[in-house]
Amino acid sequence: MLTRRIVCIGAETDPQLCFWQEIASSLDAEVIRLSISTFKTCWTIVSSNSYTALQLTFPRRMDIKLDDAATCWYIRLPSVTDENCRTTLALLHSFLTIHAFPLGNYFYGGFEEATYGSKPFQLQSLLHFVPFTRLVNVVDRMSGANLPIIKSMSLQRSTVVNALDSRLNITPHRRADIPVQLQRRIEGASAKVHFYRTRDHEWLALTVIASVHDNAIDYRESRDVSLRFEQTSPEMFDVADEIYQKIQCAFFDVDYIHTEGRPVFLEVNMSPAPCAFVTKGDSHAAVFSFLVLYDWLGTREI
Amino acid sequence: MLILLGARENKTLLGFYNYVSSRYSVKIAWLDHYQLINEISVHDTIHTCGKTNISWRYKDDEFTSGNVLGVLNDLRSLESGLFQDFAPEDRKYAQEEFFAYLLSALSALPNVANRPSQGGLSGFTRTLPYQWATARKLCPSVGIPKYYLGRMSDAECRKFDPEYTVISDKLYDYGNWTPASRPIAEGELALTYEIPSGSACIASYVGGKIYCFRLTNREGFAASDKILHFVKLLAEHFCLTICQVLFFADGASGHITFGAIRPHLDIGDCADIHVCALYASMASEVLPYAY
Repeated sequence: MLTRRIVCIGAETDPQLCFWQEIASSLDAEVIRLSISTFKTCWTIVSSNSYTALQLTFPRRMDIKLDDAATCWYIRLPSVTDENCRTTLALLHSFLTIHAFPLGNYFYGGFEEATYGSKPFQLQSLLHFVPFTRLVNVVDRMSGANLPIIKSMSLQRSTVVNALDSRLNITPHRRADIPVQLQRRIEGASAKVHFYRTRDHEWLALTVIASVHDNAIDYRESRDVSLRFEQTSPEMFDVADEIYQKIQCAFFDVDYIHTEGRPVFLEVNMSPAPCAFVTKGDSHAAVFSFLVLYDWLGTREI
Repeated sequence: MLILLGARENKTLLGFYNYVSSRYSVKIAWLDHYQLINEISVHDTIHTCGKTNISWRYKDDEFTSGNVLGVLNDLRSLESGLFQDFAPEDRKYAQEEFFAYLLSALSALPNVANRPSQGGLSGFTRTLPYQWATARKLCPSVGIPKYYLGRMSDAECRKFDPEYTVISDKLYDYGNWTPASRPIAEGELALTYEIPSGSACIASYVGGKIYCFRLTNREGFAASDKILHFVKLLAEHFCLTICQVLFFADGASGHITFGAIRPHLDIGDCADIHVCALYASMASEVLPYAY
C-alpha cells in the first residue's frame, strides 16, 4: 500500500484524472477526486497565518493541509472554466507552489503556467532547434509568407491548420488581426516524449511516434494514424534536464518531429496526459503511468 | 529607439518621458494598449536556433530587435473592452493570443523593465495571501498581517478588531488598507486582514536601488539594512526590476510588518526628493548605454 494520498482536481470527465484515480486505487492509495464544478459546495480553500488547507465540506468535513507530506496534488485546468474557477485554481496553485512543491508533492506546472502557455515564448526560451517561424498579425502577410502551417500562440485554442484550409476561423478585425504563428512544414514522424523525474532524480520516459497516412498535418486530427512506442534516445534525456532546469516541473511532455536524423522541437506541455496513448494490446503507456504514480505516491521520503 | 508601454494617463511614464527627452537624444515611442492591439503590424521571425527578431511597424516607424535600445514596460492587463470589435466567440481567444504574443515579443526585446511574467504583462505578484506566505518564508523576522482567507463567517470575523480590519473579496487589491468591509454573502470566500501597527511606508525599488518614503508625512528616509535586504529578496523572488513594497514600521520597537508588493511604481507614492533619482535609475535599466 502506498502511504501518500492523491488529491485530483479537474473536470469531472477529465480522462487523465480518471486514469490516475484508477491506478492509484489499484495501488491501494487513498484518492480524493474533486470536481471544479463543486467548488464552494463541496470544497474550498482556507488560509490563515499558521494554516493553509483545502477544506472538504461534503460528503464529510475534513481539512487537508497543503504542506502535508503524505498528500500529493494533481490539478488539470479544463479548457473552459468561468473566471471564478480560474481565480480559485490559481490561488490553490500558488499556495501549492509554496507548500507542496518543495516536498515534491506538486508538479508546479500542474496546470498552465501562463509564461509557458505562450508557444512562441517556448520556442525562444525552452527549446533549441525549432521550425523556422514567423509571427504576423496582418492578413496579407499570411499568404505571402510561404509557410504553410498556421498555429495559435496560446493554449486557448490548440489549433494547427493548413494555411490553405482556413484562418483558424477568426473573424477579420479591421486592418490588424489576431497574431498567429506561421511555420515551415517539417516532414517526418510526429513524436511525443513524456518525462517524469522520480524522487531519486532519475528520468522515466515514454516516447510515442505517430505516423499519419492521410496527409493531415496534426496527428490528433488524423483519422488514419498509427502509434508505436520507441525507446527514448539518450540525447532526449539531456533535453529533459535542460527543460527541467528552466521550468522545475517534474512531469511534462515534449512534442517534436524527427527529420533528417534529428529532432525539431515544437512545444512543451506541462499537463501531459499519457492516458491518451493507452491502447489495447500495448502496455507501454499503462506501465509508464503506473511507474509514475508508484514513485510519486511511494513511501521512501515520508 | 526607446519604447514606453502603458496608458497615456500613467504619470510615472509621463514623468520619465519628460526626464529622458530633456537629457538624452533618443527617439521615444509611447504605445498604449489600444495601439498595441490595433495599430502595430507584426512581422517577427523565430529562427531555427530560437533567436527571435522582432519587427513592428507603427505609422512611419519600424521597431526592430536591432534598433530598440530598451523598453519601460508598465502594461497592465489587456482588458476585455479592447476586444469588443471581435466576434463574441473570438474575444476571449483574441485576448489570450495577444497576451501570448506580447509575452514572447517583450521577452525577446533588450533591456525590458519590467519583463512580462505569468499573469501579468509587466510582472505579476500574485495574491495578497501568497505574498504574505512568501514574505514569511523569505525573511521570518519580518512580520505579516494577521489574516484569514476562507468562507465568510461571523465566528471568524469576531477574531479581528473591526477598527483595523479590512474584509474583501479581492485577493489582488494591493492598495486596500483602509478599515472597511465589502458586502460579502455568508459562505463566500473572503479575505479578512488586520492593518498592522506602525507607520505605513513605501519602498520604491528600481534595479537594486531602493528609496523609502513615509506615507504619513510624505518624507523620504534612509532604510535600514533589514528593509533593504527584504525588499531585494522580494523583488528577486517575483523577478521584478521595478516595484513598490508597502510595509509598516514600528518606530519604538523597530519591528517591520510587510503589507504588499506591486509590480509597478507609482511616482505619486514617492518623496519629491527621490523622483529624479528614480528616473535616473529607470534610465540606467532601459538605456544602459547612457551610463
